[in-house]
Amino acid sequence: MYSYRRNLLIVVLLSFILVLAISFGCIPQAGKGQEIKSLSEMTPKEKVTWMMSVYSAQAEDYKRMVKRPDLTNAQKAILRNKKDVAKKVWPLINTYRTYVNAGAVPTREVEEEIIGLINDLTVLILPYVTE
Amino acid sequence: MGIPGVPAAVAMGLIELGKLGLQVWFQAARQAGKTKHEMDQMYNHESVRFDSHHPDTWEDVPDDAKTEGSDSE
Repeated sequence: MYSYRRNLLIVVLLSFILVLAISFGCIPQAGKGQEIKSLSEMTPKEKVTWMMSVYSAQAEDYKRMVKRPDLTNAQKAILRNKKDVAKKVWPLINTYRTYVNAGAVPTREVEEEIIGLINDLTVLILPYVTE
Repeated sequence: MGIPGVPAAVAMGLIELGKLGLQVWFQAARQAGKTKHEMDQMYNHESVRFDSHHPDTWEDVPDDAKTEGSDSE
């Protein structure tokens, strides 16, 4: 069991490092030669699609986790924080989507607030990594 | 129960960071090189998925006292 968990942690850590390396352009995207756009290079529609997808992935992860009977207090704290962030970010993404659907350019303030909240998820998790 | 030498909360935090990092990058990679039509399809799909995950559908985290083994770290 210990060995399985240790291996799982190593895989997750290596994946995270790989993602960072790819995100920062250290490794070319294999095969297609297509460049991954940074958020600032995306169109409003691409941005809101990305925002909705990250939000939904976090929601699905939360809904899987919250059903586990063996949650530790640290896990519960992270999940509570995620739900608080979700309550704030959902209406903002929805507003952003309304702008995009109307063919309007969303305000920079709304965009910055959403990105800030997604970053908050990382900030909320970090204390558990650095404790 | 945990990973020897790694506090449970630290392991949990690392795993969560890894998952978030993967989600952020994976979606950006999925969108790379998409035509306008493909992007419209992806937008519609993500829109429906997003609506189905309104925060009201997120059930509450159980109270600490209600979960067995919650203080095992």
